[in-house]
Amino acid sequence: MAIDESRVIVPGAVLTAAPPVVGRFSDFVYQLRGNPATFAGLFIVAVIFISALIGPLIAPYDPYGVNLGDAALQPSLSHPFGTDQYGEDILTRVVVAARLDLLMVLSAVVASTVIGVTLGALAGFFGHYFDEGVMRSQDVLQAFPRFVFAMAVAWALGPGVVTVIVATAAINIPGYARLMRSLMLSVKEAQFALAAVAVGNSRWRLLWRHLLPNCLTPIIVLSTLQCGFTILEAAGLSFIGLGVRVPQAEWGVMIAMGLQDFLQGHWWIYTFPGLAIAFAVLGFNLLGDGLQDILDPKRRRV
Amino acid sequence: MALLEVSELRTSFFLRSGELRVLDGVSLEIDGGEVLGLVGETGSGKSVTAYSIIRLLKQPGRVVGGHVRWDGRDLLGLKQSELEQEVRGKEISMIFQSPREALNPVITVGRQLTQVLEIRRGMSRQDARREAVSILQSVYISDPASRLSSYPHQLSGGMAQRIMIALALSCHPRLLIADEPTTGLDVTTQYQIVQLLKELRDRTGMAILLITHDLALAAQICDRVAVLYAGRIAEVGPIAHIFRSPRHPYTSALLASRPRLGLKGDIATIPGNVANLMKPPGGCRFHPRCGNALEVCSRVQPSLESMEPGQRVACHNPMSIREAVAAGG
Repeated sequence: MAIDESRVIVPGAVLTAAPPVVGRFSDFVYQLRGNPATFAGLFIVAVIFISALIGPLIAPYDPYGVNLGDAALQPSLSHPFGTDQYGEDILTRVVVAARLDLLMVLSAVVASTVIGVTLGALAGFFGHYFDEGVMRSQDVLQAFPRFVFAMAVAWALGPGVVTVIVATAAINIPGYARLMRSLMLSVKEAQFALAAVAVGNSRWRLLWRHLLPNCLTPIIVLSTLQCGFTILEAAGLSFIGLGVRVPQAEWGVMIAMGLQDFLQGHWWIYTFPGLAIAFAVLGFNLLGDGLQDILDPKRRRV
Repeated sequence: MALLEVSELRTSFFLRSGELRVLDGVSLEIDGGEVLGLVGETGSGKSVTAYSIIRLLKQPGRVVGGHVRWDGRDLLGLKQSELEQEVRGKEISMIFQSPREALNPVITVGRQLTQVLEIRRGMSRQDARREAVSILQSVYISDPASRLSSYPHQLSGGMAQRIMIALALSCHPRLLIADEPTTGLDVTTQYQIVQLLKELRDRTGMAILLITHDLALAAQICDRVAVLYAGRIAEVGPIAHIFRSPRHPYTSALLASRPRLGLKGDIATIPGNVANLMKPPGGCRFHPRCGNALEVCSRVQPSLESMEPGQRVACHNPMSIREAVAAGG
């Protein structure tokens, strides 16, 4: 009788079986498959990215094609989202606006993450006077209501794309700095930090190569969630006229334009850009929640 | 000359309520290839001794006196950068208790090893990977190539300690400080780890400073043992002497309080509590708990005096040989 080799149980085999070596990408796909909500979030974010990249190529009309003859048309087959009071196609403008909105949001989030994390990491790691100095300056920033502070910054800089980026980045820095500082305070006392020093790592290597990676999961999750809120804040600034100005295709500006025609019952002018914002915020939030599970080695599917 | 020479090391923790004198003149030396056990109760200053030697003490702890000579160099006076680049890891390395917490949880085992090899030994990525596999083999990790992609939480305690040892030995240090390396492991694994340390010592000729409260463990591997009580060395000597004929009343009481096979009745205990380091008793710190205490013990601090060859005791009224043998039993 032939022995089926694969059925033979070797003592200790279970203990010694190491996880199979798999590629990073296939592992990522595998993690996503077990997490439908994250997959949905990734899908939405991907749609926004694609429209940001190729939006102007696929959009049916010119986003700035003023045609007063077609002003304020209801949604129809030729204009699925209707037209605004200048006769510009709203579907086209919603799709084209993704590029500008995404650009502003990503720049703001990257800037505030980098600055906030650096400040927080150094404050938590070095402590003492540096910590006091950094954190009290963050207190000052946080002393104002967020949006009021953003308005003040935007007003001081004057309207424009850069203004929106700077203003929305500025209000988010303290959140990152605080989170990073508290993570650093707990992780720097961990035994592996001591062990890393004991085998000869310098303080800078310890900080950037050992401690920082241990703090990144919550930071990445916060950044992703923050993308959603930053869309709201950027749109809000544009809505009140402190951000991007009227002819530009930008979701907040488009809602502001719709508001002018609110009393005429032209609901489609503000509804569709509003839905685009809601859609984008939902996508980033779903993705952010799911990343938490994917990025933490202990919460990963095996 | 000894490889590591610690003389009159004094370390204090400066708290709001006062100065806590954790080490009060600890002297010991380790020769190349020797295993020295540092034993004592919780709070006797074992770990603080180790941290003081390679300067890992954190605020509010500070070395306030004494010398640490490593191969003729003064470790306490060394610049921070020299310490990091030339001593830690390359000359003196350290492993800890709870090995899983001593490994970085978000970096794979392989990366932790190859990082050290790339930076400290200047290897290329491929070389480092190959070397990592052979290092893991030398500490008996099965299937080392695929283990490289494991994260620390996927390892058993014993395996994590082997990897910690591999990491500590990756730059061929001449002294390994092992701070309670088997705490939290089951007895079989403890034995394997001790055997591994022993074998690595024989193979590489490195010295080991083993810190433990487990006398049986010390007996398995140590050449010599130093008994620490309240921040002072009570007795130091070859393992056989210490176990067979302890001369310090504290060592003798410590040995009598071991659980032993065939022991009838209760285990002997040492009366009283460990000395209050904020207000240590004058003279010998053990005298309030000591059965052999004389009047002089509360006034004069005894110094380490040679008794047998190699065995030194800090006591005004040491156990006689007969008593000692009886206690060692």
